[in-house]
This record gives sequence, structure tokens and C-alpha cells, in this order.
Amino acid sequence: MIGEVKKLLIIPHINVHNANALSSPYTIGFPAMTAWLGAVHALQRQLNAHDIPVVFSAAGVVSHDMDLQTYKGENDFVRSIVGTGNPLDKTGARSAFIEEARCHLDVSLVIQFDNITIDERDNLLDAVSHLLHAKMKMAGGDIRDFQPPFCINSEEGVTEDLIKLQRALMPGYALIERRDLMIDAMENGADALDALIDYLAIHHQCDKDEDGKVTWSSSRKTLNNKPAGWIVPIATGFHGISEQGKAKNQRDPDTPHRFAESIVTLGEFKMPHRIKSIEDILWRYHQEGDLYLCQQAAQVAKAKKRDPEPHSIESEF
Amino acid sequence: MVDDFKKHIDKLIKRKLKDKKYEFDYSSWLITLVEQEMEAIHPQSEFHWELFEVLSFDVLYKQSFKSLCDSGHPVARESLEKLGINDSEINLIINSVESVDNLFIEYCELFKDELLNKDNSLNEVHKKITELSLDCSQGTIISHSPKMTNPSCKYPRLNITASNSPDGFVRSGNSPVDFDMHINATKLKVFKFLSLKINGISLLELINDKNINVISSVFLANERLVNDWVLNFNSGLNEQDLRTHFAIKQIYFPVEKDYHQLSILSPSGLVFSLKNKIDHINDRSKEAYLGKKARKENQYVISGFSTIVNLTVTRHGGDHPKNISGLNNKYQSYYLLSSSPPAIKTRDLHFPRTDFFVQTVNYFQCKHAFHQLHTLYSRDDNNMHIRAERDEYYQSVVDHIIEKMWQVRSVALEQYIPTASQLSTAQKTWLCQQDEGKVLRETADDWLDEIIQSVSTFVFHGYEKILGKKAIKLGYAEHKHMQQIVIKNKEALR
Repeated sequence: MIGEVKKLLIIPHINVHNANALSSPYTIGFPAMTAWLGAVHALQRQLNAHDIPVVFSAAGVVSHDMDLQTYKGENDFVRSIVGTGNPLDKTGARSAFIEEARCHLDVSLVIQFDNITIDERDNLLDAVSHLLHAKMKMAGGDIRDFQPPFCINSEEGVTEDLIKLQRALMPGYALIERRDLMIDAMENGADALDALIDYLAIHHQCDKDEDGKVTWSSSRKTLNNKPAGWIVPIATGFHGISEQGKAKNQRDPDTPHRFAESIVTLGEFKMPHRIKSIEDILWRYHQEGDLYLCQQAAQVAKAKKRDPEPHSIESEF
Repeated sequence: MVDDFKKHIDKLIKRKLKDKKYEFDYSSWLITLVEQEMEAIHPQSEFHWELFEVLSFDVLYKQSFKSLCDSGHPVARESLEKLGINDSEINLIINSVESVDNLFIEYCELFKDELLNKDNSLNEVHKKITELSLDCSQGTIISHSPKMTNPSCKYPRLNITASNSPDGFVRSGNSPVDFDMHINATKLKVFKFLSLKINGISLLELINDKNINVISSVFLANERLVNDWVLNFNSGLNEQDLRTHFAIKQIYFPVEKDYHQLSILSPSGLVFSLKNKIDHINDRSKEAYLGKKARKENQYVISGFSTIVNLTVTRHGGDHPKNISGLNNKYQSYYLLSSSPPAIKTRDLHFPRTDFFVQTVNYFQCKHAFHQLHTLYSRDDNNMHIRAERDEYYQSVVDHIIEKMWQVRSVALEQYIPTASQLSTAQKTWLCQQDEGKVLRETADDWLDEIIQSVSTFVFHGYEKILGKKAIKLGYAEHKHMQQIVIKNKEALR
């Protein structure tokens, strides 16, 4: 796809206050990928309502800073959530509450857009700034401030364009899907939870030299003897667990309803100067069967390579 | 902990200790205890109850003597050694304990009151099971607990089974889990009863399969009675409720040009299975026990061990976890894995006063890369792949420097003092965040050449310093090559 020009909208350094850090029932920390694509989609809908016919087709997120609201006592091994019991009840006591993990974030969004001419870009940028100031929320948190958004064109395979983008996003860590690590382990017989834990655990080993001296070393799981990177579990979508249909009490009776659960896979936080193409950090919506996903093109390509379609095998004979 | 085991046994045999004037023989008492024949799971004599008390005693936190023997945990052996039992007898005891069915312990625990009330009669137990089967109508077997979203959600009640596939996702179907149950908090015994496992199959499955023969032979009940139980259980168990609730998060997911509405539920089986696995790896496995002990004493141990850190603990239902679900009551709390990005600004970071390459980065931080490079240099063959791998390691060192550079820049405004700094002009331009420096950084290039030179020297000398005498002497050409790699990162270093 060398030569394809991507039009990108960058919203740098969005400060989000009290974002939802409970991204799935298994993870705490950076909000789920669905939250970011959801925010971008909501922004598109609001722009469309203001007669700006923009289409946001993909988005990437770069974290510059995160402040997770958890507490760890002096001799504690585990952390606990710092909750707020607001508002106080009529006697002045704290009301009962369900623990909700929160975090404060400083992130940049990279959004691929279409359907806008160069002349309309200023209009788009004004509207985006206006909406972000006015009524948008992101990952359940309030937007405190952000730097002025801007548009750039990035041609696939053109180094100067990529460098320009990388410099705009540094310093930070882009979220990248590493489902390949999980697939690899699961194809070798591990169950999903074991595969996930294995990459997150610290493995302690010891060696004994000829003199009988013992040295202990600790490491994370490596991939082909190389450190796998800053690997974290991330929620990237949902798994439908019931048939599509109607359910009593659904928010909107005209939209098909399903029960679903969060799905989690591995991701990596990588400094943008390491990416080889802008496509490496972009995520897109994808729905297939029971799976409702946010995924990256690179992972789809890897999956196809791993699982060639039947007719391609036939064609070899 | 191990001493507690002795105390517990002494308490059990108090009377016998008093009677005998000579020293009590723990070994023969324990051997007779664990070797006695058991026709059924019902305790028939006082001796059986003693066996139950010994096996179910928690020697370690939430680990009974029986479970320690089953997993081959060294504490089982240590606690027997404390009783003065010799090696061969210890082996005999542990083997016999392993052969005792877990069902016996769980059954005794569950029906302790009924079994102790009347001697040698199972009528009370049968009556209790009948009662449980009737109580069952108040509950539903579920796989996803809505009360984990909000305790006021009494529905939906779903029990789903999903297929397994290596698609790389943690989701229902991709990991075996226990079933969960919604039931009135006072009737939780139904959940415990259905969780009993007979030859590895839960009672729930046997009831669903209407396997009357097995159930009647285990509980020594006549088939008509068992048939009644199965009918009662079945009528209550599988009633699903497909209503969603206003407190359940309902989200829209874009599908082509339309949306699907998804009600998000927590898969309680997976959540608590994760807790179980983490506890096993961190604390309960014999590898963790042996490894932690060996590391403390700096001893050698073959197997090694793992730890999972940065966990956050959370719970549902506060002081009343039983109000949420059966599994929630069993495990009480669960863990959340950390998904936080690395921090750029850290509290222990100091802005360099004289030289970034001495005070901020050091060769040992890149030890792994240099050792891997040494392995590559030492190889006899030299091909495209090896050269590519070598370049990757060079790159990883450069990446480390870039990361440190940003970290230092993040504290530059607070920590840089122009009058006290002895940094070279190039490094000042590179690291300081003052406005005039920033402009120069963006517009000029000469300072950057100096930095590039320093970075490649860092890579070159780093290898020699880390490997010491073992290092292979690298030529000018290799230094030049390193420089090429660094130059590729010119803009990232700017």
C-alpha cells in the first residue's frame, strides 16, 4: 500500500480527569481500547450533527502520563482502590458505593479521517475544539484541557511524514495490540488465562557456577530470547454470549440487543519513534460472529498468514 | 504453622495422651488412621472423624493437610517430621492420604451437623438433601453474575457455554471455569452441595445428566428418593432470565452502518479462576515455597518460581459477599492485573550536572543487550539474519538512551540550574527545556552530531565494559556501523 495518503487529525495532550480505570473485570489501569474508539466515534457523530460530514475510520492513542488512583500501604503486597463516597448521605456519613477505579490521564489521539476537503479543515478543527471544550467526555472522565488539534497528511512509506508524526507524539507510549503472543501460546496448548499470566509474571531463576556460587536472576517471559516489550493486558472488545434479539429493559427497543462480556488480550506500550508505519498504532472496529473487536491491521495480517484460506492451499496443487 | 499441626493433633488425642504414661507414638496412630478402609464417604466411627479432622486442618493459610499432600508440597513432609516420624513412614502416610477421596472431606464438612446428630443413620442427611433440593427453586445456575455490576441487579440470569478456540482472547470458553449460582444468601448450602465432585464430575453435571445410579450409590439412598431430588433440583436450576437491567452497562457497538446494543456482564467463573491461579503461583505452589526459601538462603533450586506483582485487590458485597453469588462467597475478593503504561516522569530521577552519559545512563542498564551481542559476535557464521539481529540490539541500546532522554527532559524545568550546571553546550541544547535551547534544538544540527557521536561511543564502550576481559576487540568498521544505526535515529534524538 505504498503511496496511500492518510489524512490524520491529531489532538495532542488531552488531560482527562477521573477516567474509568476499570477497563474489564480482570484489569485496572489504562482505559479499554473500546473507550477510545467510542470517544472518537461519539465525536464523529456530534460533528456530523453540526453538518460536518467527516468520517473517522481509525484511531490510535498515545499515553503521556497516567495517575492511577490506587493505594498501597507500607507493608502491603497488593494495592486497593481509592474510592470516593460522594455525595455524603443526610446524616453526613459516607454513602455505600461500588468501588470504581479512576485515573487521570494525559493522552494524544491520532484519528484517521475522510470526507473533508482541505478548505473544510479549519472548520473541522474549530468544531472539534468547541466540542471537546463543551460537552465531550472521554473514557468516562472529564476533559480538563488539550493542546490545539491539527491535521497532517501522512503518505505510507514516506519517512519524512512519519518522522513529523512521531515528533508530534513524543514523548509517549502508543498502545499496540499483541494478540499474536496470546495466539502463539494458545496454539501450543495453554489456556487463555495461563497464556496471559505467563507474560505478566516475573520469572525467577538461579544458576550455579563452577565454584558453587549461586546467582538469582529475574526476568519476564522473552520472545525468541528478546524482551517482549512493555506488555500489559488490555480490553479490546466484547464477546456476545447470547443470541441477537430483544431483551426487556433495553435502552433502545429498535436496536438489536445481546448480552456480552469484555474480552482481554495482550497489548504493548511502545514509544512512537519505534513504529515503522502509522498503521502500526491505528485501531479499527471489527465485528465477526460473536466477537465485537477493536483491532489493528497488523494483527489481522498475521492471523491470515497463520491461517491461510483453504482455496490458497488448493491453488498450490 | 507446622507447630500448629502438632498442636491440632495433640488436641485431637488429648485423652489418649493423658492415659498413656509413655511417649505417644504419633507414627503408628497416624498410619492406622490413614490406612483404614472406607466403604463409603460416610464416617462410620470416631476414627473416621479423627481422620477428617487431620486431613482438613489448614496447615498453611487456606491449604489443608490433604491438599498439601496432594500437591506434593514440602510442608506436608515437614509437619510430619516435626512429629518425629521417620522417612519411610512419612512416605507411607503421604501416599495413603493422597488416595483418600476429596469428596469425603467436603461431604463431612457440609453435613457435619446432620452426621453427628444420629449415629450410623443417614436419615438426617437424606432429609437435608431433600430440603436442599427444594431450596434450589430459589436459585439459578449462572455463568455471568449481574450482581458484580450492581448488587441490586437480580437479573439477567444467564448460564452459557461457549466454544474454545485459540483466538488469543480471554473470554468464556477459552479457559475451564467453575459454575456460579445466584441464590438467597441463607440457602448457599445448595451451591456447596452442587459443587461436590464425584470422580472429578460435579454433582450439578450428574443431576443434569440424571445419573441416578451414581448419586444413589454415593449417598446410599434409594433410587426413588434420588429421583425426587433430581426432579426438584432440575426444576429450580435452569430457569434463565433474559431481561436486562437499568443498572447494567448497555453500550452501542457500531456494526457496519448500524449498531448492536450490548449489555455487559462479568464472567464470575473466569474472574475467580484468575484469582485462584494467581494465588497458586504467588503463594500456594510448592515452587513458590521452595524458591522463596532458597532465594532467602541463597541456595540453588532447579525449578525456579514466578511472582505476579502490581496487583490490585477488590471485592463485591462488602461485609456480605454471600449476597452476590456462590463463587463470590467462596473466594471473597479477586485481583485486577495492572495495565498501566510506563511512566516517563519518575520521582527518583535527577537531572545530570556534568554528563548525561555518566550520570543518567549506565552500561549495566543495557546488560542484556550487550551479553546478547557478545553471543552473536562469538558465532562463527555471519549471515543476513545475524546482522539484522545485531542491529536490533544496537537499536535497543539507542532506544534506552532515547527513553532516558525524555525522562530527563521531563524534569529539566524543575531541576536544571544554569549557574550550577557543568553540562556541555551540546547536552544543554539536547536536554534543557528552556525556550532559547528549544529553538536551537529544532533549527541547528551541529550539536546533534556531537550527541550522535556520544551515543555511538556509549554503545561501543558499553560492550567492552560489560564483558570485561571476555570482550572481543571491535574494529573501526564496527564503530562506524554503530554510528550509522545511531544516525538513523537522528530525528528521534533531537
